[in-house]
Amino acid sequence: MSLEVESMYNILVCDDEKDIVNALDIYLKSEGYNTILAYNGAEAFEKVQSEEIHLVLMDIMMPVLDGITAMVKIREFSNIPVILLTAKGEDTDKILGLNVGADDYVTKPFNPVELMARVKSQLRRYLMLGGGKVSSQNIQIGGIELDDTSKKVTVDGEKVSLTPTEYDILRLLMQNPDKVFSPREIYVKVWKDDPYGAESTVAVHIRHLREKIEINPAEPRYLKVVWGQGYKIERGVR
Amino acid sequence: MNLKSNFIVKCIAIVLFAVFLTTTLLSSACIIFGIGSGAFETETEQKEYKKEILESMLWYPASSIRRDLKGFAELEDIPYDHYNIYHSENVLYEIKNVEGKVIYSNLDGTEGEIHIYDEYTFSFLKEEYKNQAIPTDELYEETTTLEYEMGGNEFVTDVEVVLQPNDKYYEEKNYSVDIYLKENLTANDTFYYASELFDYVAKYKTIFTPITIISAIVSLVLFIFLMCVSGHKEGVKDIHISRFDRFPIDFLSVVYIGLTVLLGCGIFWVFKTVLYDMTQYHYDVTLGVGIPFLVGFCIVGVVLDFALFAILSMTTAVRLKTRTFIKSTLIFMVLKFVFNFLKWNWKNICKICRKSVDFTGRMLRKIPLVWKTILIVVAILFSEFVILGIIDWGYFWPAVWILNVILGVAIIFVAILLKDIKKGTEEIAKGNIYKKIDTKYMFLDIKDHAENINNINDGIAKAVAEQMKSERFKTELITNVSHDIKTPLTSIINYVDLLEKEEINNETAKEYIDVLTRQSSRLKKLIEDLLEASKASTGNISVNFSQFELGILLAQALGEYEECFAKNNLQVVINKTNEKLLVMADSRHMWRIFDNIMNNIAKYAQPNTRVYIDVICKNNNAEISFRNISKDALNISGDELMERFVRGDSSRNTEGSGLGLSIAKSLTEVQKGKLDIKIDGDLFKVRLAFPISE
Repeated sequence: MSLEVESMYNILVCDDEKDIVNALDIYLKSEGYNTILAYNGAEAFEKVQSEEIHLVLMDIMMPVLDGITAMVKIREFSNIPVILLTAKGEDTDKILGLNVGADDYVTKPFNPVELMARVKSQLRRYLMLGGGKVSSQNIQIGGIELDDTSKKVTVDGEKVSLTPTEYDILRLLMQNPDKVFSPREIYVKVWKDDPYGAESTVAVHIRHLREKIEINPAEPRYLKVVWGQGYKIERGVR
Repeated sequence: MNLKSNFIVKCIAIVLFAVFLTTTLLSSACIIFGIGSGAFETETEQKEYKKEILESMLWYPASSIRRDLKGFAELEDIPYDHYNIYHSENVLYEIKNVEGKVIYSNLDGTEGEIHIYDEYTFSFLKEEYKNQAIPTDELYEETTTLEYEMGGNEFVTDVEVVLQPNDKYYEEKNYSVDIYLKENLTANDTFYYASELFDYVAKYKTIFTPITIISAIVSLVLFIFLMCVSGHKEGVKDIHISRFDRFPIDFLSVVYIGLTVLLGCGIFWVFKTVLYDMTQYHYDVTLGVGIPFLVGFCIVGVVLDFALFAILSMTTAVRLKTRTFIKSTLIFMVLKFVFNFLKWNWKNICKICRKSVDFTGRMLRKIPLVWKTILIVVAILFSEFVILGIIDWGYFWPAVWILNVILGVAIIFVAILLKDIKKGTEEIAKGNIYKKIDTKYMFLDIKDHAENINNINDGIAKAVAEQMKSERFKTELITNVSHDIKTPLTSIINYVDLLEKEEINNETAKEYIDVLTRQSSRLKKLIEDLLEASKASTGNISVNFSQFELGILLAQALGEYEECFAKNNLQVVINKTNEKLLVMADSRHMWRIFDNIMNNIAKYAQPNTRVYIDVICKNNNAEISFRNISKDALNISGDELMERFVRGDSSRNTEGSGLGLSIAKSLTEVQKGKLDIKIDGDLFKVRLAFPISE
């Protein structure tokens, strides 16, 4: 995956706010992507049908056709990654968007760097679909791949360097996806020691790990905090 | 030798007190007797008084003669010198019948010589059974229970019917008795002793008064002395309370009063035995042993009684001195026990009472309204029937009954209508505000009442609709405003970012762009906080309650903030209970609360100080308190700090919206918890409390 290949990707940007479209255009172009611009849902839908699009960045509240409806229509014939980019920041909005077919959900006002990272991540995942081999030593959940023979971890194809403790924690959580481990359990299993008063040590390591494997550690996609109970890695992650 | 605490001195004082008090009593009794009998008067007057006293005493032999006369049917048959007029040897008498004929006299030979006193005449009736044939129907039956002895066993069984004649067969007979007393009382009889006593009192009348006064003063002094020394004991500095002084005082008093009454009865009995019963048969013994014994018994008894009184007074004094008088009473002990019993079992007693009241209420509620009314009406009519049945209503009976039945039916009909209204209001209370009461069969005031309820219902329905509309409006407003502000803000942030990336040679312009970057990101944070605060405070926020462990959440939050605290050189000290504190709350909101509080600490705590976090369980609440030293002086109260947009630093230069604590408070309240802030100088304390779930 080199930059030359990436430059061939066409990204559809759709928002009724022209200034935002322009700004996104500038960012995406500076990253080397081709952009196709649209200003409402209907327009976006036409563009997806008529041109070869690799990723869609779309607002929800738009005139003529709103983002959710447009996405549902796109999903009828295509499985290209769709990132919703919206001012609607409620949990219910996020859940609805992700459930009806969005691959990611970014709220306005967004951090341009984070958005670019997410675009990159989605594109890699889209490319890697069906191409990844899962051997017995390899555990793959979402974009994270853990190779236990070489002790290597990659996130969306990019190598991540972890300390041995972080690696052990990640492996424990990935071997038992969706299971919530309390800090105490993690301490006993990774440190193999009496956990008395050690819960916050685990929390510190988890935070470091999250900073390494997540695009936005404040809104983790993989390593979730279950407050008051523990930590888990979610399998059903996009 | 300490007089106060010497035991022997006290004993002697008690005995002396009793003796002197008895002396006072006796001599004052003598004074009273002397005054009463005239012993203190002049000699001539004394004679008169003495005569009067002796004369009044003649009633005793006279009544004795009367009793004997009644016992004989025919007086003339009896040799009358047989009369027992005991210890009245100085009395002379003469019995006469109606005609004035002397039947008996013992004046023979003594007349003119000895009897000086005027004659004492005593007349009475003699009732006698007429000696004639009585017709059987004039007799009445009298049953008598016989008691008799046979072979040492007593029997109380046999009943005998005795035929008694009626009253009219009695005949009245009158006798008169003249009684005289010798002037020189030669024999040692009652009259002699009475005369002697009178003379004795008259002779010594001058010394009784000083004896009374002196012994009264002495006994009073002794009493005061005893009161003062009570409670003092050798080698004990304060008032000493002996075991006896702890014994219930009221019980002791009752025992003392009982003993005194017993003594009184004893004295009375001894008096009766010695002066009355014994003298009837053993006159010599009475004089030789009886009277000395009587006097001795009385004096010893009274002295002992007074000694007991002194002891009782002393223990009372000890109790009063140590203020334990009321506490040492049996009544107080019993009341205290009862009170304590009630106190310890108060909850249970209350529970039982409440339960029984509840139970009765439930039972009564279970009976439907109409049936309840019927029951009451029938009960009232029945009792009316019973009570008024006693009075004779005559022709009004049917009218009264018809009216009563009409009244009952009317009441039951009203109850049926009330039941409809009750059903309607129950529905409304359940929340079915669109329910209407059917007023078709109702009339007059009941109809008005039902219609009023229907109107209220309409009002409530309208108000609820309004409320729902305004709630929806509020929610929409927040979401829309949020969207409308966020869209232009996104553009601003993005273009400022783009500007920053442009190659600009102008240093001033670069500076300006820096300001724009900084301020736009601050605006972004402010708007996010503002929206969250308004959502949390209006309750437009979904709360998913679940059970989780507070300790783990705290550890997780500390993990998140470890580096932040380390950067500011803040040392965290945690005091945590070993208990598992499970709470029912929304863990994500809870994290937000911790996040805001810890962020606040990181921002405003004085670097190089310690932050204390305590987790305790108190009153079934999980309490977490955060304490830190503020960087800046805080001139406002904790409550003010929780207001929106209030910040500890008046310059407001630091980053932050001033909404963090307000959001934390709102979120805490949404989760049924409590958050309060206390400021004590530079000490800043946040206390969180959540109910523990089981």
